[in-house]
Amino acid sequence: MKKTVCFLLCVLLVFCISLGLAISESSAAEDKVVRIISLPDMTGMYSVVWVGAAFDALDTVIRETNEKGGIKYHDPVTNKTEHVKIKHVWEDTGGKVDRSLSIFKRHMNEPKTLTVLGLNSLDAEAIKPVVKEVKIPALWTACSLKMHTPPEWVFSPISSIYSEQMYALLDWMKRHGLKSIATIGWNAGASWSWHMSLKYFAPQFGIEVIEPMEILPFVPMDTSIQLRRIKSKKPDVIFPALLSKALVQVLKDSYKLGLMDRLVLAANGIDAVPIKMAGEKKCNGVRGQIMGTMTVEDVRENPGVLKADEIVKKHYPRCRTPLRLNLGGWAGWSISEVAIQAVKMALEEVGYEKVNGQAVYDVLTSGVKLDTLFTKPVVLSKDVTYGAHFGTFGQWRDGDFHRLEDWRDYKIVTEKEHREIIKMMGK
Amino acid sequence: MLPCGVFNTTYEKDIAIVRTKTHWSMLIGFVILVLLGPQFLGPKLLDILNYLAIDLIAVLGLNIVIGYCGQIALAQSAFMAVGGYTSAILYGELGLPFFACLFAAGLSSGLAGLVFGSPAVRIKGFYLAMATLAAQFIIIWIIDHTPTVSGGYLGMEVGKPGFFGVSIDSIKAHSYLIFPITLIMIYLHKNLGRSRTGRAFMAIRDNDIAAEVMGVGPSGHKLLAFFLSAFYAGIAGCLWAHYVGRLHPEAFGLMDSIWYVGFLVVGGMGSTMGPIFGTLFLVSLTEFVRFISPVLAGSFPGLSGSIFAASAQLIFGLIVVLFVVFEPRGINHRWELFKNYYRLHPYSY
Repeated sequence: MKKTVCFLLCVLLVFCISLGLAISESSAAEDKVVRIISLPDMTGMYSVVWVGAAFDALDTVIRETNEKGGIKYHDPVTNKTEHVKIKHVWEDTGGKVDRSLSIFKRHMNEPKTLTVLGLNSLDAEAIKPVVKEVKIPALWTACSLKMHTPPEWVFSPISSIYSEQMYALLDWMKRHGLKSIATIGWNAGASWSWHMSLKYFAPQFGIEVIEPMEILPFVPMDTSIQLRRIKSKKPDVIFPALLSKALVQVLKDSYKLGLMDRLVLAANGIDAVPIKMAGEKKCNGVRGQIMGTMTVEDVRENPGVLKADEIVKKHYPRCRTPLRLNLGGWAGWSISEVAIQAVKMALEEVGYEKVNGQAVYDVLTSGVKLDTLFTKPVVLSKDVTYGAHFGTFGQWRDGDFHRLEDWRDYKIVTEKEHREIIKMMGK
Repeated sequence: MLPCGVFNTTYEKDIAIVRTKTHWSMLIGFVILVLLGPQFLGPKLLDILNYLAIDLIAVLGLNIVIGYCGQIALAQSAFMAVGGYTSAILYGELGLPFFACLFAAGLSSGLAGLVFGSPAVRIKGFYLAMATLAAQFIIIWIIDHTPTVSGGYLGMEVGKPGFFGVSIDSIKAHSYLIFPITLIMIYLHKNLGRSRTGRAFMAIRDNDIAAEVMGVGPSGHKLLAFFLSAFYAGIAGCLWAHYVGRLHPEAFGLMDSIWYVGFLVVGGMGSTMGPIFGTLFLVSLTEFVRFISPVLAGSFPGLSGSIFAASAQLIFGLIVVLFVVFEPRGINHRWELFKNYYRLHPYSY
């Protein structure tokens, strides 16, 4: 028995090593390659949120591009139309910041590493000084305040920053005569960014933010204690500063406690996965904010979503979750779309020989319009490194999300205001 | 067991760690390798080795309390956090010299170990496990809820270490800081096991009542074991913090503490080589499964990369389980058998 197990393990090891060598040889044979690093948490605690879907989406975009021959561009040096393949370099971070930093540092000096893509804000905050030092721009799906204060080499092309979202939420509450708001979230940067932004802007609108924010574990089994405490304070709006499975639990428990009409979801406003998991019928009446990460038209008719669905079906024929239902999928897809466009423009600007992270950064901050496939094109700059400054509100009715009002441009929160909110977070 | 033909004829020979010419040449070769290695190894491998060395210090510490003294401790990662934060604050805010911060990190962590190890005087077994588990949660909770000092959930930037005008800012430079400290900690650990204190620890581990009858005070020695174990964790935490350049309470989770115990179980408890083997084996395995996931995902384009990342973790878990089932005394036991075989060669008596 012992010998058999040892033998099987040896066979497995030899198989993996030979496969690895074979693959590295085949990729080494490629002549023109640019590298994009991504830092997904596939086995850690963020993997249960939406990182898996986001990673699959961004990987799909890169696979699709490579399948079509790579990035097609006009080289200014050779004056010819050329193709360059993308090498997607990734390793599972396991949800550990040090691991993400380490993976990036191991790969950042490889030739033609042009950008790094990431998914959660903690990683972005940690990697910020490093990407600035080595001049490789980072594109992230998350958009916490610390990521962009001060604005440096980290970009969130598809998202409005959490402070803008809360300003818009307070504005919406004032227009609807709602006077108080309570939050329920994680003890994490994203939830506190949302909560403190609310606290900072609330006096301007004469709205009361009920303290303290109720804290939940990352994957809670029950949230009714926290929700009962909130209910006793009778807020007009309950804002779950959460995503995915934690949000599902809040939705389920809110239904039991009769709080559905008070819930207003944030960035995840039209993320259908938690709504489906909590029960579509039960979620009737829940309202949500639709921000820049989302489609500007009706979800089901958006040409970008339909095109993406087709591509997903091609690569993953057994995929059961259409992309249009998945927030993570859209987020991952959009950042890789933007990254590939920026790389293409950089190649057309300086040519393959001279292209580097600085060239991609110059494109990203040049004020050029970047297409995210799903939303209106976004424009980034050196001062405002996050993208979509618009949004609206909608409501769930029988599994469909209905827009409640027209799209509005968001107030762009200044760096000074962000510094003050971060100062509040530090206390 | 001594090699064939080697006899301890003097007290000096009896206490020597390095006994034979072969030992000396291997040691010199190893030190040269450690000193010259960073010059020739690439950043990827050096980065892995740096983390491996830091983990090794933490596991050596754990071996003092679990392997030598027979107590249970499930908060090594939290003690690392104490060391890391202490050093970051002293170095960043007060501008103390790096080596003073390193020592202070060990000391503060050691004191925390002393506090949370104090239940060991009264309780043992599962109850002690629960008490030390509480340390893991309490320490991280304190860090999380003192944002003015620790940065709380926002985390904290940690300055790059520097001394005598030399700034340690690259992976290679960090190797020259981490490797010698690791060697010193291994040497101290080895000597502790041979000292009066170390033997007292082992006596308590084997039978604490018998040890007490023989004049070994269990309470004091148990507390000392917790102090030393946490001291090691503090040193590891300090090196980790300055190497990564950032601290966040999430980096010091319960799972890390449990994995450190896993390193010890796989390597073998109660020896110096056990933690080395355990750390080497499991860190290499982790790196291997992480390396192989993207490769496999690239080979099977119809499948999601997440499947390979997750299945790699399963394989990793399976290997550890098989190991524990078939060799519960750890890799070190196999190594001892192998060594003894060759030491007796060619006479198998």
